[in-house]
Amino acid sequence: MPYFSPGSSELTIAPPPPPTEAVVDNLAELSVDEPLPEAYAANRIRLLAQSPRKLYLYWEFERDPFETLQRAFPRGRADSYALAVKLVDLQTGAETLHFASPTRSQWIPAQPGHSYRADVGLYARGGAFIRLLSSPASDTPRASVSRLTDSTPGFDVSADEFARVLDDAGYVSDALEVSLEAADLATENAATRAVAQRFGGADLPAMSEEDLAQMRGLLAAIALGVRAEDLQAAFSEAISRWLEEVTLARRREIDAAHLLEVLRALLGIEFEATAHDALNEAAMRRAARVIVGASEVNLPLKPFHLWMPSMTGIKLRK
Amino acid sequence: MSTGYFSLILHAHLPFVRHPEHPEFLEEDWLYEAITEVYLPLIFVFQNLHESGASPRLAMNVSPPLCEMLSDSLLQERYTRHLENLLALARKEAKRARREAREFKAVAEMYDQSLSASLALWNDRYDRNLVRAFRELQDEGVLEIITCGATHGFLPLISTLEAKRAQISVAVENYRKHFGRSPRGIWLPECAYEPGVEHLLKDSGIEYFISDTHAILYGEPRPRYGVYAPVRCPNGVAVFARDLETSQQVWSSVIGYPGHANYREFYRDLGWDAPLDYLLPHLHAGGDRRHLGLKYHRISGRDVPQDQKLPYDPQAARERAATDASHFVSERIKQARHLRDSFNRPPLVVSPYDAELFGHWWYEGPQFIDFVFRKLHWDQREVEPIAPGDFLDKEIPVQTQRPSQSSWGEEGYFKVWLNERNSWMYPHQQAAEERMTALANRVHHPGPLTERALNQAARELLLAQSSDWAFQIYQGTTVEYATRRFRSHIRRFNALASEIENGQIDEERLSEIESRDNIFGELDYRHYRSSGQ
Repeated sequence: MPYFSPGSSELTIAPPPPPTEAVVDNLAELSVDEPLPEAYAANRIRLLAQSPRKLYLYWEFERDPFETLQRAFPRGRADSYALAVKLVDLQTGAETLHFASPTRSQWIPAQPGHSYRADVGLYARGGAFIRLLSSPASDTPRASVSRLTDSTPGFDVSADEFARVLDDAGYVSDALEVSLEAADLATENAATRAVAQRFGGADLPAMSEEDLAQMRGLLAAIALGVRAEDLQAAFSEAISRWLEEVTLARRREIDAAHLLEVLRALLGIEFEATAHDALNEAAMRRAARVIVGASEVNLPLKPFHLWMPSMTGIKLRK
Repeated sequence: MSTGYFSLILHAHLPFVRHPEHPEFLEEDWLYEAITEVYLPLIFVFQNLHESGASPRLAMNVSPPLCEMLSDSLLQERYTRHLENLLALARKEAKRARREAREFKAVAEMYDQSLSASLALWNDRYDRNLVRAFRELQDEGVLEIITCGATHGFLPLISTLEAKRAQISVAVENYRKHFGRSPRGIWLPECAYEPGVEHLLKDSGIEYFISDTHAILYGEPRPRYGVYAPVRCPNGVAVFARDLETSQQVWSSVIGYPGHANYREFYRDLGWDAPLDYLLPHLHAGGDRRHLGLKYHRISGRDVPQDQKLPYDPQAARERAATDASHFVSERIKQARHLRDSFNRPPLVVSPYDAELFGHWWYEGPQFIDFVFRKLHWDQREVEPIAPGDFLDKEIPVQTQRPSQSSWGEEGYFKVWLNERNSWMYPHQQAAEERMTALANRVHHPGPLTERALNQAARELLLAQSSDWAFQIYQGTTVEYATRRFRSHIRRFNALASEIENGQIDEERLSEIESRDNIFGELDYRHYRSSGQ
């Protein structure tokens, strides 16, 4: 049934008029089929954040820096220099050196929630880095929830409550991570360690607060079905080493189902598959946005609903 | 007091496509299809809801390029021809179906009647200007119309403060031209937020913006109410973030409503099914087949091959839309009750969608919206439809937060618009951004010709910045056209900038460029000046 009411423009209906002639193209000399300029004859450098773990850098020189180098250095010495990119983490001060791509642009790995600057310069093994161009700072997005809570009355939220807020919003991986945080708060950081030990089948080494926070993220990602190879680069060296040991010790792929069982047994967290999605690997991976990002259309599926007991005052089960 | 609030937000946007240099142009059909399938049906639905007393209330972005195209006399004239031609085909089809294909009679007659009604609305009711229709709906209190980036430029990938600011201030100026007031809110292009943009918004008088879910969920400090309440940036600009549950119910091709077997199949189209000779009077001069919008089949089932799709049944589809709307509303009530119990205050569910989803991709989408608002009004009292501005007016306490960098694209960040396929665009675009501000700062008292050239250079830059080109190149759908458009605007910008710098402006060529890329007649290049210049 049409949902429009009949109209009154019948008389205006006429066969389409013949097409008119195209106008003369006065812009032919601005042909779009030729490539755009290779460069704009300027010293330019830009660092762009693409995602929490990836930066894009491009640059150009007004003049070939190697010509200047040849003039400044004795013959032979200049040849030992190559163009290099130095990435500076403005928060930690850490610097990493990369070969510069001849295309004058490249992708560089990064960490979420950090601020970076990139320098392009000349570098010779054993010599100093001669900075030629320096980019403005670029910030990578954070890839997980903030740890900061609001102290304003009415807007303060406990980890327990926030885990539920995240689950309601469909961010299951983050909900699980924050639920572990709530359990750690109630158990003087024993909960995550206990889960990791039971899951890994071996004692954990001493861990810093930061490592423990990363461990919560790792466990949440594993529970959501993220593969080990996708996880290695996302965590600190200590956590990655533990993960590798666990994988080797278990002599098989890390197992989401086993971890869900451990979480159920130790913390009483129940997992109920949502109505539309079975607990399938692809759906779980898509849901784990904290590690590998959301689904292709940014619709992180919610493969399961969490039933989280209050972690306040929780006692770890045997 | 309501148990909760529901804010539907539609984002209507198409890139500026207008080719007066050709008598007809395939990509102009994007606009014509959207008018027929989306904008006219939605306007009709909203108007009827309003007149029936159902008090619909929602926010809608009508992007500046779309406003400009809808107000353009050349495109209005071409659309009229397009619609008349389509109606002529629909009438031919209705006769044919009665004669030789009775199983398609109902749907063929539906097209005949609905296109006749569309033509009446277009010509008689709205005098071929749909901006007027949207404006009327805003003035009647149905829509809260918000603005967008001037050309849907992806703000985090625009390199200079001046060029980011121009995307916003040009949009606000254009909004005033079309709607006779200032916008309260903005749909950030691709919901792409980066810290600091709120200052530019505030400078332009904007009170709120729409973001993706994790802008708030990952914001600092932790949001007490998740995405079920807005937050305010430290400078006071409010942020409304997307609710995933309602997104999935409509967007998802797997679990969403539009995948039901009774709904119309998008990919099976008369333009590909009918004999070419029969279609020729209704195709472009080249005679190439294309989607015509007359589709006779229903989805029939997820795994049913295209050649085995069943005839579309308009009545069954309409009934399905009513059932889905009923489910949607009952889910909102459940969601509101659950969240209210958790929060001890009424939650707000924000549901932003591309407007073109409703009618173009999901043919029955406008009917679904119609039923949703009717049910919200007549069948329950718990969930109140509301626009974001209305929510702010209620003066419910709002948490202050620094939102997190994000977009609503694949993986939630900027990958769709910056990746291995389209990264080549940014050195050119960003060089033009720097050059535009250098020109605007340098030229203080231009003569009339130079001023025209400066304004046109600004138009070319704005058109090059449209996020649609990078998106299309990434998607691999209309790569050639998107690439040509980007290159042509950069080339035109570079040529104009050089002429301005050299003091030798080719007036004939300038006039030609102005006649083609005639967006934003009101544009003033001074938007690009640095502060204090």
